[in-house]
Amino acid sequence: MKGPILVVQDLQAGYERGAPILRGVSFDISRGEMLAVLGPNGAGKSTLIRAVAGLVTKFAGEVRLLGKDITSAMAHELVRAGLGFVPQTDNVFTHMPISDNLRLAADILPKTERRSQIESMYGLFPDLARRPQLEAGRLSGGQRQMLAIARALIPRPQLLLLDEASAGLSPKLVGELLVKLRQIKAQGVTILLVEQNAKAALGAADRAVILNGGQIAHEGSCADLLRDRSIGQLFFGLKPKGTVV
Amino acid sequence: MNLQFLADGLVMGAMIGLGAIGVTLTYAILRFANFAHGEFIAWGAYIALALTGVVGAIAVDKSSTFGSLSFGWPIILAAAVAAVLTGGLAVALDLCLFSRLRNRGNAIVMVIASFGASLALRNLLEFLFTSQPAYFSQKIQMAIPIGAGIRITPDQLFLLGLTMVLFILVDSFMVHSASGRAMRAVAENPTLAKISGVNVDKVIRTTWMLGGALACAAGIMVGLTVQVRPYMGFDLLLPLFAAAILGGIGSVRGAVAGGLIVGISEALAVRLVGADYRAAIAFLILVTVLMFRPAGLFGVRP
Repeated sequence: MKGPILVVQDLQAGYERGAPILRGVSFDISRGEMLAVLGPNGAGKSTLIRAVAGLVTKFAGEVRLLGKDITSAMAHELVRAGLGFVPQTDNVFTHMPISDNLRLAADILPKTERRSQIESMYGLFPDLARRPQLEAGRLSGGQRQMLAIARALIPRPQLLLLDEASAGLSPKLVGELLVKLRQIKAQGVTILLVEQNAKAALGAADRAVILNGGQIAHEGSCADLLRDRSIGQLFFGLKPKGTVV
Repeated sequence: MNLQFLADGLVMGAMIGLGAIGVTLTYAILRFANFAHGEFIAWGAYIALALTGVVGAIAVDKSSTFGSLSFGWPIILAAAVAAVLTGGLAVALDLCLFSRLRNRGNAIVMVIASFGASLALRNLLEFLFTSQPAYFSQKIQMAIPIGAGIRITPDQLFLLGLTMVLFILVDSFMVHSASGRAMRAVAENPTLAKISGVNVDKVIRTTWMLGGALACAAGIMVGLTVQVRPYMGFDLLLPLFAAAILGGIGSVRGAVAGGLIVGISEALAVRLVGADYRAAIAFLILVTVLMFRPAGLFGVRP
C-alpha cells in the first residue's frame, strides 16, 4: 500500500519556547521511500529528526505516523508505534555487551519473537555476531553504527530515522552503510536520512528536502536536485562551474 | 590477634551493603545523592516492628521461633509487607518531591531537597515512635564458636545468609531481567534508553521500590542485631555512601563489596583504636577513594 507513512505539518520545534529552530516545516514520506534531509550546518536537520522522534519539544504543528497523531507522544511510545531512531552520537550503550544492546531493544517484543529477531540482526550485520559478549564501547565507529542500526531495527519499525549516519566513517564504510540501508529499504522499511554528506545521501535516497534556517527551501526527487546546479551552489558550497555532487 | 572483628565487620558490612545498593542505584539512575536514603532504613525497621506487633497479636502461637533464632514467622511476614511499604514510601517521596524537581532543577537542588526530606522523615518517626530505642526481640542469644576464636549468634548467621540470597537475587535481576537491563540502560544513557523503547518513568519507580525494599531489609537487620532508633538510618548514611562510592556508582556488586570492606574496616578500627574512631573510618575510605580511584572498585570510568 502506497501513501504517506509520516506527515509533518507546519511543525515548530526547538529547545526554547519563543525561539523555535524549526519554523513551520511540512513534508511527508511515502511507504517504502528513502527521504534525505539535507542542508547547511545549523539548518535544523537534527532538530527536525529529534522532534519527530519525540526528543525535542514541539511548539506548534502536527506529526502523524501511519495516520495516527504522534505530536505529543513520548519517545518510548513511538518505538512501539513503529518508529526507530539512530542518533548521530552516543547511539549504543557502551558499557553493555553487543548482545545486551540488542536484548534491550528486543524486550518490547513478545517473548517468542525476541530471539529470532536478534538472530536476524546478526544475519544482517555478521560483524556483530562474531563477539556478542564484547562491550559496545570497544567497537569501531563503523561497527557501532551497525549496532545502532540493528538496535533500532529490532522492534521492526516501519519508519527508520537516521541522524548523520555517515559522520566520521571512511568512504568505504559509508559505501557499506548505504548498501545496508538499501537492503533495509528492500525489506519494506521507510527511511528518513538526515545527512551532511549530500553526495552520498542524494545517491542513495529517492527524494530529498533541503532545510535552511529552519524552513524547507527545496524539495524534490534526488535526480532533479542533482541536476539543479543552483542548489549545489547555494547549499553545498559548490563552485558555479562545478558539478553539484 | 583476635579475629572476632571479622565476624562483627561482616555482619555490619552486610547491612551497609544492602543499604548501599539503593544509594548506588538512585545515584546512577536519578543522578543525585539521596541523603534521605538512611530514613528508608529507619522507616523500614519501624514499619516492620509495628507490623510484627500486629501479626504477633493475632498469631495463635505467640512464642514460636525458628530453632535457635530469636524470631519466628511474625517477623518474616512483617518484613515482607514492610519491604513493600518502604518501597512504596520511596516511590511516594519521589512523586511528591523529587519528580517535581527533576525536570527543572539540577543535582544540587535534588540533594538539598533530599536533606529536607531526610529531616522531615526522621522527625516524623521520632514524633510517632519517640526517640527511645525499641527491640524486635528481648531474648539474649548465645554466640556460637565457629573457629579461630570467632563467635557469632544464630541471628547474625541467618542475616549473613539472607544478605547473600538477596544480593544474588538483585544481581540476577540487574543482569538477566528486562527491568534490570532497562535500569542499566537508563543509568548509562537515558535518551538512548527512551528511543530504545524504555519507559524511563517506570524505571525510576522500580529503582525507588527496589532501593526502599532493600533499605527496609537493612533496617530490620540492624534492628534484629542491635536496636531500632529514629537515628539508625542517619547514623548509617556515611558508611552507605562510602560503600557505594568505594564499590563504584551504579554497581550492585560494588555496593555489597564496598559495604563488606567498610564494615570490616570499621570493626578493625574498633579493635585497634577504639570505638570512638569508628565513624571516621567510613569518612577516610570515602575521601581516599574519591582522591585516588573516583570510579571505585567496580565502577566504569567515564
